[in-house]
Amino acid sequence: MLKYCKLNGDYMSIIELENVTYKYNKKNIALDNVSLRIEKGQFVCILGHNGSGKSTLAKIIVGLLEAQSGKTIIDGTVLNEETIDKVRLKLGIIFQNPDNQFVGVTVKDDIAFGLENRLIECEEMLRRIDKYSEMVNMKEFLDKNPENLSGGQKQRVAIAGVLACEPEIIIFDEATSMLDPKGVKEVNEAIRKLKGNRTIIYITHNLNEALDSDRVIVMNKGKIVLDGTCEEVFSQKEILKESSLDILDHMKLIEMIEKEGLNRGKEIENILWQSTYLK
Amino acid sequence: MNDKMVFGQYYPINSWVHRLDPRAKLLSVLILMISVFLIDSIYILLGFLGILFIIVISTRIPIGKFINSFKMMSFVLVLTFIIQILFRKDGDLLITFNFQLTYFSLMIIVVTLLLWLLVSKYIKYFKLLIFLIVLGGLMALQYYTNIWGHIVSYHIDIYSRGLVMGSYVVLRLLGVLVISSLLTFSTKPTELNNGLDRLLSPLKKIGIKISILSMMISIALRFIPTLSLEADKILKAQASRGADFKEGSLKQRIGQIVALIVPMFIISYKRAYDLADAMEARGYIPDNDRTSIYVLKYRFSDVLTLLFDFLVLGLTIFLKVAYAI
Repeated sequence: MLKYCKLNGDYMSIIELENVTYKYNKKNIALDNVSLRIEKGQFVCILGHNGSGKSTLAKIIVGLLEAQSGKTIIDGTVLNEETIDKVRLKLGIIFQNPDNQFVGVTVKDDIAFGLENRLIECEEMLRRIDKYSEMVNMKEFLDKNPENLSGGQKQRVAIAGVLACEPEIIIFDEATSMLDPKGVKEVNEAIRKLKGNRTIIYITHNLNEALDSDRVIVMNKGKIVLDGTCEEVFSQKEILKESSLDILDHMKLIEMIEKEGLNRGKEIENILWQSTYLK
Repeated sequence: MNDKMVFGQYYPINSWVHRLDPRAKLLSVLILMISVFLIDSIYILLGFLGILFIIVISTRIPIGKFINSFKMMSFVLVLTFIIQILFRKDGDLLITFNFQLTYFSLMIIVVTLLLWLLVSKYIKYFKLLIFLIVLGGLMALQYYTNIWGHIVSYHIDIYSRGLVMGSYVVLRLLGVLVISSLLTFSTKPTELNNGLDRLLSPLKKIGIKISILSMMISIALRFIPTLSLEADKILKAQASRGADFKEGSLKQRIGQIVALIVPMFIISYKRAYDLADAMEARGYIPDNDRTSIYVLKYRFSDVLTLLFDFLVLGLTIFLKVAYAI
């Protein structure tokens, strides 16, 4: 299922974490001895409830937090004070709050922000802004101010801003959790267009959003508890429940039919109505 | 409301002044302001204002907007004029006004001023003008009447120099006002910030970090509307919980304001933290070189404008020296 490239007898992984531990304080351990390898070009979904350490993991990968112990290797380079500025050029991250990551005064300024930092010439900047704002369907909003945009639009601008820098790895840190259903749909459509080209780490607590990823990692209390394909992970209902994650609607249905047969029609109907597939 | 905060006084039309490079505009403002203060002949000053007037007309920015900015400064203008007239004691003595302060006029003055305090709240237009007329009336009362118990007599001398210097100051301030308003009407704050950044970037060589300053200004401009929206939300939320920001004694009101300031402070801090993360993740390193999406280029019209400015400056210096001899 997974496409590995063999290189010198080792898998070519773009992100490697080795025994990473991060504590906010003595009692509050966000990451507990986590080791992880992510292959190039995969769409990896990291699932976990609030406080499971998934956002800390993202911040460690992009070098915003420094692990107390362990190693982070991005594309063959160990992250440390000296390499961080270089390594960051390969990384892009989209955060949760659409307002707090909008740096520019207009959409155009905001997409250009990362490019300006990378010392890209003006003409190339304009070309990329054109290309990527088209890609996220925000081209007609280039001169708008953020307060005239919806949350979904702001997140799409953030995505365009990250894409314009053409990073190899893009991390979505609960990028849709503060949006209304329409915004979630818009943003997920934009993300879907990226699949296959780049390494994408998609962090969420919503199992439905993990459905079409190549690999799913479930975190709980700072540890990786499940790791595998969608089918493998979603069949482990007990562990998912332990991790305070709700199992998928259709799985609930199957479970119920398995247990009780088809004689509780009313409840089955309710679940169907609630299910995301009917919405 | 938000547009006002983002664009300040910016008046969105496409005039030749709007199209000028912000650096050229900033330099022009500097040079023209120096010229205004160098001119020391009333005729040249009037001529200078005439040229400014033609420029203002040519931009098609409504004159009303300029008059509005005069209104805000009118108190300062009138006050400086009066002070110049009262305290300049050189030149020829033009007129002497003799005033008699009597118990009668003192009573009327006190009553009128009390009335003014009560009524002034309800006067919406020409407040300053009406006040000046009232003041003039009171002075006239002291000039013409001398009944009911004389207290003291005094006189105000008006000297020619006082009048001339008074008009100088007023005309100069007018000139400064027109020039600076022209800049703010025709330039967005972001453009201004860009221009200032580029204009002052040579200061980097002597260790002044202009790029950080201009980044701070641009982020402030970006977050002013966001934070004001947030403040609005908090105000409503606290009001729905029973906080009353409009009534009560001063002490109570200060207490209520805390209910706004504390959450605002926490939210701003959280935002700043998030924003710093986002900026860092997108490769911002303070004080590193950056390119800019806004390429500023001096065009022919900019060069022409700057030439004109230097011409004006040169002419004023020449005239100053010629007159001095």
